[in-house]
Amino acid sequence: MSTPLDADLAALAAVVGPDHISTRGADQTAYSRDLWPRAQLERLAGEAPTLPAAVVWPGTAEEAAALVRVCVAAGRPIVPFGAGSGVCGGARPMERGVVIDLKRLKALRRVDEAAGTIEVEAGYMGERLERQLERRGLTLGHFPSSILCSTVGGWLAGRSAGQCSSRYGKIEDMVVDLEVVAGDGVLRRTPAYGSLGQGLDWNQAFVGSEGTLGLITAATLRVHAQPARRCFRGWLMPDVDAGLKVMRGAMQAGLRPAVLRLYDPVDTVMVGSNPDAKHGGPLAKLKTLLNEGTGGLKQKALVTALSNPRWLNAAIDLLPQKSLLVTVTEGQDAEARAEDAAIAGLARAAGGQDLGEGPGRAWLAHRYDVSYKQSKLYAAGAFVDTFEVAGTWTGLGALYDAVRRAVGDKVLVMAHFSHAYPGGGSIYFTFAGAAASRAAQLARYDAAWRAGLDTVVEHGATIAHHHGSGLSRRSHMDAEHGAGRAWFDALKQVLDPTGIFNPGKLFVPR
Amino acid sequence: MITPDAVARTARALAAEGRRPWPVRGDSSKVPEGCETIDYTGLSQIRAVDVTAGVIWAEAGATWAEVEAALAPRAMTLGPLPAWLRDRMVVESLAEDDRLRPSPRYGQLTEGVLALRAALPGGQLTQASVSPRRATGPDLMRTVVGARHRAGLVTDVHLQAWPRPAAGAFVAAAFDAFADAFAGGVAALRAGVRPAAWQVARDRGDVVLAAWIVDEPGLDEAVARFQAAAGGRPSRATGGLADALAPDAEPYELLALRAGDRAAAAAFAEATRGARVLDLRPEGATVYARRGRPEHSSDWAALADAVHAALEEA
Ligand SMILES: Cc1cc2nc3c(=O)[nH]c(=O)nc-3n(C[C@H](O)[C@H](O)[C@H](O)COP(=O)(O)OP(=O)(O)OC[C@H]3O[C@@H](n4cnc5c(N)ncnc54)[C@H](O)[C@@H]3O)c2cc1C
Repeated sequence: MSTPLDADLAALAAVVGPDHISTRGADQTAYSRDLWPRAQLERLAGEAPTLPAAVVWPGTAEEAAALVRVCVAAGRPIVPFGAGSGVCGGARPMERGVVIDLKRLKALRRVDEAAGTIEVEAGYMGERLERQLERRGLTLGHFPSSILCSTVGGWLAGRSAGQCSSRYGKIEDMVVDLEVVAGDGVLRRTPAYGSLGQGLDWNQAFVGSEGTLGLITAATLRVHAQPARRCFRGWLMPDVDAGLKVMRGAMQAGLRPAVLRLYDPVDTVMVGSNPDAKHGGPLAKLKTLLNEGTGGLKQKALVTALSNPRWLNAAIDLLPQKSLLVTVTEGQDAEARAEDAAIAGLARAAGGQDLGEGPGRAWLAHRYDVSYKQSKLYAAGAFVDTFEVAGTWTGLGALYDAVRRAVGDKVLVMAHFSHAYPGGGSIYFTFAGAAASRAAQLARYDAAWRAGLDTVVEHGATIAHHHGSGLSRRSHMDAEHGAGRAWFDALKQVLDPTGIFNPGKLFVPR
Repeated sequence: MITPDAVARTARALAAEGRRPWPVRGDSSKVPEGCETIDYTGLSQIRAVDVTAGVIWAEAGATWAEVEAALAPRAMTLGPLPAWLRDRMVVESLAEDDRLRPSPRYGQLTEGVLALRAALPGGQLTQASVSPRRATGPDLMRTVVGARHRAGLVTDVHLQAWPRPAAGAFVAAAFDAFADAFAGGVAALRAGVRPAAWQVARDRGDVVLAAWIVDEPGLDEAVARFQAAAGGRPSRATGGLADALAPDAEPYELLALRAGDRAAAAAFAEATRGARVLDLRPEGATVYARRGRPEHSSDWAALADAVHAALEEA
């Protein structure tokens, strides 16, 4: 039951001060979405966004805890907000809810060089943190493509993965402990190193909870010395399977390369590394269309091509199957060289052609170059999105084929494989489609997602590797977890008994 | 033979009577008071070995030694198995969150669980996709780890296995003080060498840091890097490494020892005498401190208790 809005706003303002709460329309609109591409389609289709009742910016963890107490007492839903770079609708506000933006929690509280750990507040922006650490000769080793526009809290809440996860792990592998506020409004620190006699691993309960169990206000994370050396290489592999074999071989041999990134044939053309496709193949034309804008005839050609993706995807199947594998090893000089040589041995044995340092260095130079051409595509009547999944090495090639088949009549699809572990890895699919009307675009977009996720579930793989569930995957979360959802429900019942934390996210409410 | 479904039915029946299940393999002498035994002898098969992914699917009544034996013909391994863990059932190790494997390369055995299935107190059987990592909410599997069977009875698991190393080398360095040996181990890890097993042990007047290094891309080079980073004096006292893999099976208390905290390391060494450092990580280590399982008395333990109670009541 909620109390009158004015009283609640006054109570919230009493915690953070009048300058750190807003009910202005511009702020409500700005905080009415994250970067879930579907939201853009919805707007274009004329759907009105849900606006939060207020946005608040706590300046300390204690203030954040006090805000939680006010919201619990008032029965107002809380939507934790990092930088809003999430792509699943996780930070979308709820009706009459309060968005708590944590970006003022931006202290690097402690750098313990001897222990190799830092304690950092949740609102710290990724790139700024890495720069601070670099000055001290350290690195977190977490480099998501969104590092310029995402926060430590958002990473933790969504189980984010950086580009060097094969060496440094995902964010969940870096956690020593967390400072959190759950539904009782008490600020607590989780036990270091997981459970150790605490009955369950509290770090791994909060990491990935996407704001549904509480606020993460700070974390102690492992850091590493900056690598003294990096070795770069590119390999043109005969096909995807050969590339996957190299990735698997490297990880199972216990190597820890910073980057193992395999582009499928389409993506290989897109990054300009298939010499066979440089001269006017259908893909090269499509690449030009996607890259060079959408005026007049080109726009028509693009929308027509993406409206009939079956033919595009079929044309891709006829292309040379060569796939680019980028490798980066790093660490102390001898370690980086030895691992580079070991991977080179595996790549040669799998029929790879050594392309030298170029592709690796090009990757590094452009590692955060995110495509900002999406708006043009959307304006032209098309859409683009990505989804990343993961599974064991045994099923990965078949899963890649199956997803391409399942969505191939709806969207153009390409992929890369960029996070490798001893047991398996992830596939990062990018898809693009178009349809004549806004309603038809939404329908096609949803159909592509549904077909993709259904296929992943059928193959026994996991439906998300690092983007999380939010709203975009919650339809398949029960299929992912089965009866294991009861574990989440029990955590929720204990940590958030009034159900105010990010309701409706992660799982479809029962 | 019992099936996961049968375990689920038993779990539900016991929960309805307010009793708690406790899996055993025959011997029920160590079952805690108030718990009912479930005999997992018939739930101890190896279901499949996926050589490509390096994943073994085992029923939870299997012991670690049985899992290792099933891997051996395929030239695969779980990594070094401390003697006291060999005859523990997988389900026991998960329930107790066994962490005493001093292996920076292979990590703790419970960390190698890629997926598990469990019978919830309400009688439902969970399922899970097999994947090295995921971003589908909290790591719900970890709810049963350390829960002493209250969050569900694990019926079967998918475990990460590794190619059996083709080559390996012992290295040892002697130090005057425990704190120096500990710091040496941390420095070697930070230099990128991750021994398959290691320990710090007293050897007459010295404190010896010993490590078993396997299959690094260049083994000789890795050994040299370990020695350069760890420092200390050359030592031949590598035999003590066997102890690291076979500590006593008594209850233990684990403490976090922060790398670089010489005072804490010295105090720890003084207090415990038989120093054992386990689960070495670059930022520190989990150490064996003294006998006696820790009391579940913290705020977090109380919250965990509430989570378990919610599951039992569901
Ligand atoms: C161009 C682009 C590239 C991307 N590349 C990557 C990539 O390489 N790897 C990757 O993992 N992701 C990537 N993402 C996705 C996104 O950046 C990540 O999900 C990121 O972790 C979100 O962080 P954020 O601070 O923006 O969180 P938000 O989007 O603000 O929030 C994400 C979720 O976490 C919750 N939340 C945020 N902060 C907290 C907190 N302190 N406490 C509790 N809950 C909280 C929110 O309620 C929401 O559910 C990319 C996104 C874009 C747009």
